[in-house]
Amino acid sequence: MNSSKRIILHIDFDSFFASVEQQYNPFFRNKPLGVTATNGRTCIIASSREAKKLGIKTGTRTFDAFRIYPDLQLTPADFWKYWEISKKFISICSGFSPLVEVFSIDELFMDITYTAKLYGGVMPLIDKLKEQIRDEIGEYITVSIGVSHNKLLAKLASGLKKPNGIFVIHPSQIEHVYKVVDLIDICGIGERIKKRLNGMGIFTLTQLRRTPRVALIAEFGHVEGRFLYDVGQGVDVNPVQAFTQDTGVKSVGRQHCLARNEHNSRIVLQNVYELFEEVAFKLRRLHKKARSGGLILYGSYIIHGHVTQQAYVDSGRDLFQLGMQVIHRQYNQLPPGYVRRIGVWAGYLQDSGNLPLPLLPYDQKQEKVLKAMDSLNERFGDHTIRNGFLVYSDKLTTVPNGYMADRYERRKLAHQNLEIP
Amino acid sequence: MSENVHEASVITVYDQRKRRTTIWRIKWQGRVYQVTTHGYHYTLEQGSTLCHIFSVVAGSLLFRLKFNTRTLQWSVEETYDNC
Repeated sequence: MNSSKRIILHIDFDSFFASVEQQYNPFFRNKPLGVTATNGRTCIIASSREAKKLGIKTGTRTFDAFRIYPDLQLTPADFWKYWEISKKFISICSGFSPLVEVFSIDELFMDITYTAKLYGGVMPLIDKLKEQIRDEIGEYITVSIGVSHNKLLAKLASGLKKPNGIFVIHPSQIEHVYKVVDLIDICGIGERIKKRLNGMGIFTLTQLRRTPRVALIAEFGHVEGRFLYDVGQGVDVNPVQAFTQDTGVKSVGRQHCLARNEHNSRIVLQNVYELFEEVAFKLRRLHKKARSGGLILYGSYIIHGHVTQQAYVDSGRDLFQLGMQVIHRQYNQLPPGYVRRIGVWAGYLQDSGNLPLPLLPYDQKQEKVLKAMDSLNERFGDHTIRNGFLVYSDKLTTVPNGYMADRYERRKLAHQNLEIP
Repeated sequence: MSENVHEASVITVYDQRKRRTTIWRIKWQGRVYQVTTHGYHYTLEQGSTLCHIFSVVAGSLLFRLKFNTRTLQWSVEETYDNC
């Protein structure tokens, strides 16, 4: 089909985390509300529509927010709650089209080219969708919808009429829309790219539209240059990729921001171990093994690197040992100072079924131990069984992140939706 | 047998037309609360146990109620006083 005849929707929840909390707790409704991170850090990660009107934005420190509005209500984030609502939202959208691409926890793309006529057109479909969201999710949680012929413009459109709005960009209106939006309103153009574009004398999307491709490629290289040229022309050929399609897994990772700047090296290492344990759970659930382990420690010093070995592993302890090798390459032990953020990952993945079974009795025993641990953790929750090294340390809780980067959760969601008759 | 302070007695109504369960009344710690507003309902997996979480308002109190589908027990997880 001609790409300009496709009908793509971008559906975005308005102030998602805060709206969910306002739906959940009616006492928070119509009041400025800030959602804070659960890790003890004092930053507002989402603010309600009422708080945004006062100038309290995402990233504002609570101290500054109280100076703006002393009666501001604060509530800790509950990502499982948001994820459950997101799943309900995805399930509702899947009823309108099989082509639903999950972009993040609170936004998705839908290709309704072939299903719109079943509902009498685009607008009747949108009305029905909004009605279903209101009935099944709640009257306080609203969505803004952008409609266009490609994902780039649909995403731009959804941000142009918020909250609870619908905005349509027809192919003939691109020039007109580009006159009123800023460069950074486009998904894929951030402050750094904007600065470089400004350096080329490009300050508006209309100017970008008139810039020759060669000039952009000369400045940004082939990939970014072509992308920016397409942005200027309002072209995006990427199709909506159904979330039920298997996208493959290249690496599994996890990052964690500690509650405070941690000086105690034992606590830092316990957190590293627990994060590797979590990566290992995910590997085993995905039936993968890794032969590379990476670690990054941010704080008063930075340790960053990865180690690749011949053997494939899928236990937290083995991955932790790879992480320790990264530390030992730079230091004998953790240097004095503090750590604020920890990131771990496992790469060079291979399907467990393609690898030989362990030969030595010790390794065979370890596999059985891991299986027993997994069945207990599946039944009673992650981190129920922990290594002795973690005794008396705080339990890390696995939560879905806003970008829905967790392939295991995505795969589980896809399988659950495919089971729906 | 001592009563768990978190456990609650709950009267629910199932609307077959809307396919929705709503909470009507809660008895907790010897007091009866009439539900006036429903906040939200979602499900949560705790290990392999599926739990239903409801948030409801009774007077100036918000209750977070959990229904454990394995034990069929209701419990008050959290309360929030708006006074």
